Amino acid sequence: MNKVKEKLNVFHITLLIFMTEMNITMFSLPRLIVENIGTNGWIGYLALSVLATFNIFLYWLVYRMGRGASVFQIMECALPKAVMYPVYWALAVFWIFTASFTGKNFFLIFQMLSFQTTNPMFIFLLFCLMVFALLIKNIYNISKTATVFFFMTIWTVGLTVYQFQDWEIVRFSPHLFQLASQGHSFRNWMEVYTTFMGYELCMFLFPHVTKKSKLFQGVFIGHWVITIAQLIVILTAFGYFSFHQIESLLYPIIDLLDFIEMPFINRIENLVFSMFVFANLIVTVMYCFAALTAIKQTCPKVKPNRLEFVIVTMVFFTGYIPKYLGQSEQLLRKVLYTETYIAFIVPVVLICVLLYLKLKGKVPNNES
Amino acid sequence: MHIRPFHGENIHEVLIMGVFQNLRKFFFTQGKSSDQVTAKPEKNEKPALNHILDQFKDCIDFQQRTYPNCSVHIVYLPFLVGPEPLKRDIVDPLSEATEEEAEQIFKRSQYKLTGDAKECVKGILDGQAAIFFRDLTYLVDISEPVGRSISQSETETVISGPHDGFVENLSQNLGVLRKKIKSTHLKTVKFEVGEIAKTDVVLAYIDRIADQDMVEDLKKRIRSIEFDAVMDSNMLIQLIDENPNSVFPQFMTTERPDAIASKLIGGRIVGFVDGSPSAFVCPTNFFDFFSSPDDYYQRWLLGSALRILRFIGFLITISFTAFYVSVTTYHYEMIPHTMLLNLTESRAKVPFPPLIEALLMETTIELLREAGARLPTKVGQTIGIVGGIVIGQAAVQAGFTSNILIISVATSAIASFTIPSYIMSASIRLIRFGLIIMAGVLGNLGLMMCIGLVVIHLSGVTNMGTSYLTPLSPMNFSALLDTFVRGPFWGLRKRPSISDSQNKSTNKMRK
Amino acid sequence: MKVKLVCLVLLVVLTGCTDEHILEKSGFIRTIAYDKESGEPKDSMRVTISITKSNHQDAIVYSVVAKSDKDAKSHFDRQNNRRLVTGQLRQVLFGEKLAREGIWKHLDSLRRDPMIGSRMHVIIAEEDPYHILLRNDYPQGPTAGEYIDTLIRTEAKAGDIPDSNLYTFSRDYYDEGIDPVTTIIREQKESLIIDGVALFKDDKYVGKVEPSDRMFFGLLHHNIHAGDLYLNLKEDHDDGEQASLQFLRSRRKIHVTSSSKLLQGKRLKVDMDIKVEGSLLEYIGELDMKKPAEQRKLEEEIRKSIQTKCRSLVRTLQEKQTDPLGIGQYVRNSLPVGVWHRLDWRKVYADADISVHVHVRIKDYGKLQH
Repeated sequence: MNKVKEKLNVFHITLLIFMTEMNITMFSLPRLIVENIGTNGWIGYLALSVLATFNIFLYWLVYRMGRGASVFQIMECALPKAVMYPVYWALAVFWIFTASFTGKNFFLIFQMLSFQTTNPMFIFLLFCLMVFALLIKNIYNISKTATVFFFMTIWTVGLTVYQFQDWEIVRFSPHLFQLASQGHSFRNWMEVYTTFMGYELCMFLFPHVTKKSKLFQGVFIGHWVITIAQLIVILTAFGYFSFHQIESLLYPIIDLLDFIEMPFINRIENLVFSMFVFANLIVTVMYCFAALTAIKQTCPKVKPNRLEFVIVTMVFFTGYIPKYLGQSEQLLRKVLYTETYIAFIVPVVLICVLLYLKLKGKVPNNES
Repeated sequence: MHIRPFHGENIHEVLIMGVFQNLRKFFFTQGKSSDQVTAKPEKNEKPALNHILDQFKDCIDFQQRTYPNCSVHIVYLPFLVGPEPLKRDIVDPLSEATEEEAEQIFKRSQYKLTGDAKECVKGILDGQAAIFFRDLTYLVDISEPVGRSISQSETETVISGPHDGFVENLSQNLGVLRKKIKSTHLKTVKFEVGEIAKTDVVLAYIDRIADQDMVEDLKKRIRSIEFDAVMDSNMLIQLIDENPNSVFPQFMTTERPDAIASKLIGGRIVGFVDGSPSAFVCPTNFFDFFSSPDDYYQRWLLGSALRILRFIGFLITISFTAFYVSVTTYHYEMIPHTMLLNLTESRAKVPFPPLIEALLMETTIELLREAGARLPTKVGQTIGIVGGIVIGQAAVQAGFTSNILIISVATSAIASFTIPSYIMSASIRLIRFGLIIMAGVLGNLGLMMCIGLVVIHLSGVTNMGTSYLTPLSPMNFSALLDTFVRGPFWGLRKRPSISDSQNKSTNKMRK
Repeated sequence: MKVKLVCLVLLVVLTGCTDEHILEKSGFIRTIAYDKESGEPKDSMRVTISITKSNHQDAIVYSVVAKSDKDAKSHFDRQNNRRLVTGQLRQVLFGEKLAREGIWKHLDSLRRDPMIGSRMHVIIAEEDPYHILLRNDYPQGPTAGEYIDTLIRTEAKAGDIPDSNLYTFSRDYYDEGIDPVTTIIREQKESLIIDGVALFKDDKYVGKVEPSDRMFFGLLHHNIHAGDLYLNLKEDHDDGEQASLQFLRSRRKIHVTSSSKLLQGKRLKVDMDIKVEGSLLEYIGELDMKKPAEQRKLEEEIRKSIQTKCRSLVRTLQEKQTDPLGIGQYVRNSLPVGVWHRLDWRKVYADADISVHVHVRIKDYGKLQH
């Protein structure tokens, strides 16, 4: 077999994490910040990004302490497989749900803009075929695709220059975190935090990297690149819309795009939003990949493409659950909240397991 | 056809595996059975005149001459030999000679003694004459190259730069190449491909620059081809690439010696097929098909501008008509108001929905192009005029299509011709149909999804184990300077990352 | 592979065509007008739409008395042979009478429609908007919609009037520290004319800036990039001096100088600095422009004249208790959040001491020596 011999390198990991974090939440991000953090919420956003960095740091610890062993290897060193398999299955099913809800949510939003009466499941089916086409490739190919998609979407940040003329600093306020319409609570801040979800999938990249790949350098950079890109958009929205106006808009980013007028084309929100199907695809594929990795661990001898097919079919049929935009948003919120908990719990558990293993002196080895 | 990249995916792995299993099988059958089982008994056989005559039975172009004065028998294929060498090496020395004199003559260097009947037959097929003298057999090369002399390539033209192109004759091509690269590091390996035709294939690479593993891999693939006859290098590359179901050409072919020479120096491997004027280069990436040797003969800013222009042409080709369909069918709000009225007016009389209209016109223009290509050059031009101007004009006036669609179809056709590689340009035109249909089904979203599928497909394509999208992904910054733009020569210090050369820097050869 | 192909082809064939908006089968509503007539019941209004025909020359105008926007649309749908779509809506006109009652509920339904772009102009029409749309004999432009569009775009680009579109209106409406403004147009015999700037208190039309004052309002309201300003330097004399500043650029700055103890009834103090520079291309008067000293004097006169105008304009705004200049934004930013929310801003604003300082620089005097 003439397989591609290369492993992931830092640049690809950066972009893969970037694309995975660019989930559908970003379209409502300014509103989420205004609702949950209030005035000058972008500072809160940055603070949350630092928190996410800390979370990534935990994964880095796992990687260092486990010397690159995959999370499954670590767990199975400590606990019998029979205990772990149900956990893997539960997680896999959860990730399939995440993948499906994020994927479907995008098309429900899209249907607000156009194709209002087309059956969303038809579009979702086409999307699932794309997911399948990408999922059956290895992670290296997924990352290559993500790289190309990155270049196809990143330029949209540059569209913020169109808002510059109507941008005024006076719409910011000197007050910090005031006027949050739902008050400050852990849960509300976490709602903004869900926008970072995606970096936690870096734990599945452990087996696919070597020391030379500098995995965590890539994850950190990727996380901060998306933070900065979104920050630019958030700052634009804050100076362009008035505070309560953002609150009233369901997807402020779409309204930002709405305003752009070029001599040969107007109202590019539809086109640009369609372009984010790429980002959505990577997000969905990455969660499917997580589910796939987990399931593969339990039954490693399945023929190629069979598992992928099952997963994508499950994603498709799970897509029948959210039928309306509001319902879909709610489900997505729930799933992302859970995902946030998982993102924090998993590394903590793994670190504990590793410490325990160290005490017993049987640290998993991944020299091969 | 547009869905090919997409539904071929899961098949790929299987196919690659299949191909490689087959490869291995073939490797063994050729290596063991044909060489050892059938060739061995023949090797022991001494070349006998009767045997040779028997082999060339029923060939009217086979000739046997006898010189009784020195009891010499000569056989050759007269259409392959030149009158000059025939006279010089056979007729003149032998017609008057005695047997003793002939013995002296055959000690000259051009007469090669052979003891193998197989070699003898092959020599005759290559245009040599076999001389039977006593119980010895000599071969003398009296062949004359068949084919045209070196002339300008018709399919790939440049404005500045060398105008010569490869011809059908392999040795002539290799000669041209040797003249371009005067180095002992330029290695050439010869193969015979085709079970019946036994076409000569030569691989050329520069030792210590080309990746040796890749050379070995390619050798292995060429040896394991099982096919009756290979007529052209464009055919050969389809037999050895890794994604036979991909729409995109994977090994670049070119008729230009300067392009080949520069690729060789960049660490690529080059292959020639006897009888084909185009040589193939591997590994190639997607973006190589957009660069022309012309770029390097212009000032670098100009070269870069031209290359960017070609990429814009690529974008226009794949998306312009599709975008027209998408916008006129679904996204009317994107059209500026003044343009909207013009569009509506020109569409007012058209009886079809935009999708059908666009497919009709695109098919028409493909018909025109194909008709132009099949006809002699002069008639081809007429077809262009009749088709392009007359039909276009009439179609609009008859209310058959809108004139803006005509503009869009024509622009995308013209844009597709800016791509230097004809095969790539044809592939891209084919993909365009997929995009148009998807745009007609799902508007902008369909357009994007189709582009996404193409990207997914492209990132799965490999080429000699390297990614088709190098240097974009895997990213190589220094190689990017010679991808989307043509960087200045002071900037091009590295060999292309795709060739994975051990001598990464140009101008230096680590011994 | 084959199966997948067949599936895909089937899907493509089976897809519904209900979401198509093929150009020639749609009627693009260009302009929509809401108006109230005196004899009508209280909760209904006259809705008029204008659809430009593809020959650029004519427009189809439908009008109906209806309860709401969508109610009217269903009526128009019954009349029109093409499917009416809103994605190309470029202006919404409100009759003056309706505007006095508040326009937000109409704008809200327009904002809600994802097909409608936020660049749609919001305009107040004095007199009958229905008639403005009905006429298509404007020499300036083929249809009313296109004419209004280009008229407002040109004027807003020069900075004469604020560019009032759906985005700016809702932005300022939502913002507590600023009131929205829109352009007013009026019908004339030969044309339409921009008749000043409409002032809003929340969403209710409460007054207007006279067209002769619109440039001063512009100076106060935003930064002007390329305007023209005509000045009567001495208004009390009929034969007074006149000057015209062209290619005018201005920058305005607002400083809240005193905002303490507002709740206790202390007066708010705000300084507005306006820097104006332009070329003096017309001057009728006694000063000799060759002499630098006289030039300074002229600058000073222009400065005074602009300042007086601006001050009186600000006073009118205060009297109407409307704050289109966005002074409230600056006050809000200088106060703690709680104080601002307890403040009766309209009242504080009406009593505030807003002083306008104008600085004038004349860049050049045209191509003549004097």
